[in-house]
Amino acid sequence: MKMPLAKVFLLLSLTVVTTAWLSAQSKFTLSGYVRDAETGEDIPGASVLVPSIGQGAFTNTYGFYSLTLPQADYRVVVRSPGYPDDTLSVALDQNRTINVELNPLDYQLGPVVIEDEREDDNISSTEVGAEKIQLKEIRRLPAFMGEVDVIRTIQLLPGVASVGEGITGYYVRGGQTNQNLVLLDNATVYNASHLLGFFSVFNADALKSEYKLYKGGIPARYGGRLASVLDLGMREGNMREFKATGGIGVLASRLTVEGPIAKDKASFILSGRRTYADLFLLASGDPDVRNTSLYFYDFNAKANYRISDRDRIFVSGYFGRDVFKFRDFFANDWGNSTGSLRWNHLFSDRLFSNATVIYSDFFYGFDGQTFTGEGFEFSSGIRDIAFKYDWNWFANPRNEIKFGLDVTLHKFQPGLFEPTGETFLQDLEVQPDYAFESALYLSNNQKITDRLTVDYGLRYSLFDQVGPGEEYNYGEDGETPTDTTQFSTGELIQHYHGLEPRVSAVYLLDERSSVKGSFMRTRQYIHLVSNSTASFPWDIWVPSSRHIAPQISDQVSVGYFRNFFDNDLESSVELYYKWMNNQIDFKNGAELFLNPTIETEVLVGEGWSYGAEFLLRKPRGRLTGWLGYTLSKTLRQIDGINEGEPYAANSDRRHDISLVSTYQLTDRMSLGFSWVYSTGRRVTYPVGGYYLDSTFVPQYDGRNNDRMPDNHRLDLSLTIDPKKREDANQKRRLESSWNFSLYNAYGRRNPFAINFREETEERPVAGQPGVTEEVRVRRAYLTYLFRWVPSVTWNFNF
Amino acid sequence: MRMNPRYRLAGKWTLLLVGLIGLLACEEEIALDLQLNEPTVVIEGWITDEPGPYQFKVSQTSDYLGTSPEDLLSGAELVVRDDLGNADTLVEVRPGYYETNGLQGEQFRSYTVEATVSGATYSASNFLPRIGPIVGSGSLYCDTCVFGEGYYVGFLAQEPAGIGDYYLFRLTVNDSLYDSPFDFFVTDDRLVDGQLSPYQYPYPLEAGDTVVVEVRGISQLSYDHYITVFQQLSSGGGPFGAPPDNLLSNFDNGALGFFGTASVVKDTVIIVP
Repeated sequence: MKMPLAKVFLLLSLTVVTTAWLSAQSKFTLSGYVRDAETGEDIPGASVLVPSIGQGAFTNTYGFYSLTLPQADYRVVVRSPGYPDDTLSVALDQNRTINVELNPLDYQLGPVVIEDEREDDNISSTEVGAEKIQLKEIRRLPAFMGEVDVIRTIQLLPGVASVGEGITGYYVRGGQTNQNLVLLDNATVYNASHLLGFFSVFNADALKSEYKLYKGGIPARYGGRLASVLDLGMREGNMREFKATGGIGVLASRLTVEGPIAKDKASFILSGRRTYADLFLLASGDPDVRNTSLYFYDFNAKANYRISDRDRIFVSGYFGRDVFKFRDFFANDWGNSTGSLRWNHLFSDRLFSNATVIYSDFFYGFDGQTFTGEGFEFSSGIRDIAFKYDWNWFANPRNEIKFGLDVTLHKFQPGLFEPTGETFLQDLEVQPDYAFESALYLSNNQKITDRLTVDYGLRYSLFDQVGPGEEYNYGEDGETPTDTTQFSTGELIQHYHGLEPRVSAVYLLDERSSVKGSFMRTRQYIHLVSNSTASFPWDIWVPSSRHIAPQISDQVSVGYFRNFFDNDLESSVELYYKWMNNQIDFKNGAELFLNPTIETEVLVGEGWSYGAEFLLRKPRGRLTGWLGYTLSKTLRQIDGINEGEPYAANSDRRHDISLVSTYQLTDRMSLGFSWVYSTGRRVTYPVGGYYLDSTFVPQYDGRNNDRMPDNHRLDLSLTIDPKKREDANQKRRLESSWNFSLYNAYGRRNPFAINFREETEERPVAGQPGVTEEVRVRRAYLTYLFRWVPSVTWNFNF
Repeated sequence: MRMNPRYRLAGKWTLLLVGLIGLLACEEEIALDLQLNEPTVVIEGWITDEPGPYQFKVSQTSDYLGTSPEDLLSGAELVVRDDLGNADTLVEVRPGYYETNGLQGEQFRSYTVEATVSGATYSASNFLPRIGPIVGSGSLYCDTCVFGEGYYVGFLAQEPAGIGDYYLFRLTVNDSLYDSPFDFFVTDDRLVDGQLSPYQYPYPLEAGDTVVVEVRGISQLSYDHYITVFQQLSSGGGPFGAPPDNLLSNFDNGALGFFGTASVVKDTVIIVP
């Protein structure tokens, strides 16, 4: 990048300011919040449209919108999925603040909604490679063990593949699982899974109704991970009345309470979830199993206060833990905690700001004893303290500008081993690392003509690994430590920085179709150290350092979007190509645990991925759902693996199909259906074997040259909603609903693992009746999980 | 036996995890078509500071699945050299097995083996390191131990001062060596450097058993080899395992197997009730 950064920013801002200023003459601003009339909660992503002039705006994450228009009388339509449209007449002869309240659509009113103008969001939005998911929609889909899981739903989208049967880890467009950024109220969630990946950490009852996954065209305000962003928000809590919702399922129970602290001023929400899978273990005859506990729980809490129409504060937190105990021999717990404190402030009716202070922590702890009875504790993790300041400037209806900065202080704790009590064992600590990760960004969503809209932005990110610390210096082989260099607190050890341009554009061909394109560069400065495909809770994060460079990825994508039948059927095709540099893998036999010279185990190379994603979606009517198909290929080339030749990455899946649908049977009953198919996971099978001493040992040739059998599965569900209230003012009573799910309805043996074993058996000797000999036979075994897993969940609210 | 705690963690975890998944998991044999294109030469042998002769084995790889027996290779020429320039030419004692001829392994010496098999030459080197003495040994009855009820044998050893020692532990019960990949434990000295340290083996044994406890001082190279044995042979083939790869071989020219060197201390325990 030869152009000085400041200049680029200046140029960008000047263009925007000039256009904004020129067009700001004799115009007025209409702004305000869009809220739910029953709960008083904000509605993000609602559209505020002025049909007569074909302009409009979306509410931001906090439900705020702002539109600057020439003086006139307007008819304004406010629209959001799950609500009937609201139409307002506005005499815009001065700046006006109008807060709009939408009445939620009662499902019992019937599945068919009459709308005079249908949404064509998917063709007109500049978001390329972004997927919006409605929680309401996924509640009607089959749920694994009755737990509505946002991450399992993500796996059903084109371009997203599951790590393995039953596991919530996901690959986005050929990226690794650790290249996905997961945010909860702006705080990073480092390990989004419970029970080793069979469940995700998100309790759907505590989440906002809509969330987004970016697979490409990631906006400039997000950074830090290479492949994707999943942005989730916690609900604010009902501003008008106290409510409780909950559910009792076969695996877990949930309870959420919420209500006003001061009506329409302040509210809170508290939500908790606990599994009781380990209760089944009590039934076991084996005392080892009986005395094992394995469960997880999580809490979400949030409160907010509207100080005035211009200021609002939010405080929210998440705490979750998995616990695994085995008799008195060991106790093990791990999980995330996050907290965020946010301040929304309106500088004017066109300039919205949000300041956030964030805490995020992932902890893994193990208390155990050695066989000689020496007690020890092991812990590892990562902790962040961050500050973000984001600005949203609704310059005019043609330009919406976002800019901001963020700074994070990471503390990496790779591993601490501490003996307890009287012992001959010594402490062992792999020294913690510290680093600052910062960024500045500026972007503009500009409607250049009525047909062409471009969202362009630039992110400038910096990474500074700082002391205190003792850094190893290595000899010429890069492996043998020669000496160490001491760094004092705050002293710079290594600095990296770089620009991350992000551009996406949409060109409307006609009312029913558009073409879109995007380019993005992303940088990832922190790396997950793990050599298994799935992630373990003790996997550790390490910073970019003197020996490990940041990962960089470029992605281009183009798409064609077309709606049919008056927007009742949406279709799209997207093509992408992605380059990934400084990809990390590990040497054969790498020791990643409690290793102070972990950088010597790292192998570095590159990856690339390309694919086509097809989507057909029916958003409305009795029958809703989608059909997605992804054709893709992902390769890696790393010196030291596969003799330096390119090989298929773990995330490589040639074909991936999802057919997802719900059908409203009656006013109260709906059926859910999902069928998935994907090419088998990449694996390495032995090509031969030999005896090392007396053990038969496999011989391999290359990496990931084979595939497991294909995966496919049908899940079904039946949801029964509560009886309809006869009129909206009727006093509330307990309402309850049922969800019956059947996972893997036709009992497909989907491969979880393939193991090879040598067995000894007696075989008759040919030609000598009655005589047998011992023969060693090697066989391959397929392990599969979860055939026909039924579940029932009872949900209630009052 | 206190093996390296990191493997105790991972090992126990994997064991229990597999057990718990086992409540829901099923297993069945599947047919796979695995092709061995061309056999690879395998050479294996150890030089220790115990009296010789030392045995080497030369074979080649065969099909993985099925019942094909070990494919031993006769007629190879093997020479072992130390870093003082002494050479020992090995003698084939039975098909595929070769023995040294008078060589005596010593601590702080490096050894190189050179094998010529069907015209191709393969060589490997290793260093024979130091070891501290076993100070005492014995057995202890335990009925609440995690590996079951019985007598557990252990010993006390003096670990020499200075980081950088690596150990392999072995156990022989009633003349039979525990030799599955799960029975070899390796560790380094980072947690016990210079200490008088107790070790205990994780096997419940019976009264009357004659047990030989054994510690081998090995090089870092040999330690790395055993780490690959552990990672590759005792972790499952699921998404939680390390990627499959060949065990670390120190032979050049593409040969598999391993040439190891070790200093050995042993003690015998007869379990009395």
